[in-house]
Amino acid sequence: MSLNGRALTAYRHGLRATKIAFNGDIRMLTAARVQMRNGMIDPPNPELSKEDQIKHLEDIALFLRRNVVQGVKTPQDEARYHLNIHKDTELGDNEDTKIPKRNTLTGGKTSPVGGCCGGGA
Amino acid sequence: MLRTFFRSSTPLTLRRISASPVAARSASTFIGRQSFTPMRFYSAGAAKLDKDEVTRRVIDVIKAFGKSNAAATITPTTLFNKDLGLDSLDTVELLVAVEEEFDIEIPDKIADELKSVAETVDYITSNADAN
Repeated sequence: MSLNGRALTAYRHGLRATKIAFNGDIRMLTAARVQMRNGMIDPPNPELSKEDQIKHLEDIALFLRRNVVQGVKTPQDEARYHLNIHKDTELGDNEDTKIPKRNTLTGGKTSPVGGCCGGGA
Repeated sequence: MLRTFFRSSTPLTLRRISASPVAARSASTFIGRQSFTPMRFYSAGAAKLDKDEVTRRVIDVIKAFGKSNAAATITPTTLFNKDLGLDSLDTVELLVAVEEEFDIEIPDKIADELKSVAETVDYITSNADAN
């Protein structure tokens, strides 16, 4: 596909993603779409190659779909928010928390005895 | 010490949750009843949309779109680019608006080929998911 066509496809994906992320929130939806159109006319990263700019927009579309969740204040309880988690939202499960983080002080290598607060060993 | 405690306690909790099927079942029926909103019934007759109806709705979407310069005289033969003066970005936006109106997703390859009202209407009437 031509570069032009790919850019338009990315724009289409971006517009669809705004609908998923900001469904029901007309203000954000319109603002996101205006921003996206402005970005098509006047790219935010002109130093990047055209391929990279298209990739950037595709990544934004993916991010909006997976990683943006809107919260709505519940009418009954002012302190609570209803999160609009939809089918594209990226959800980790509890197993993720068991994978040790490599670059923390306590993460990384753990001795079989285990240790906490300088103890163990 | 604390960590080893957590590690040993985790499977226990999991076992406890899965061991109560009654609670799980009642939870799922509760969720099912809450989130189901009937939009369209299979018994509602032929799923295919009437072509005139689709044309009318597509024209309504174009009129609501606002950017077209010939809003009053849209016919099935109207071309997005030449007759309505839409640029390529506008056309993409318009087709996304049409997708939202009919609750469908037009595949990229087909969407690139749609240049006129009639082509769009033909695609929508041929799509069984459109409603």
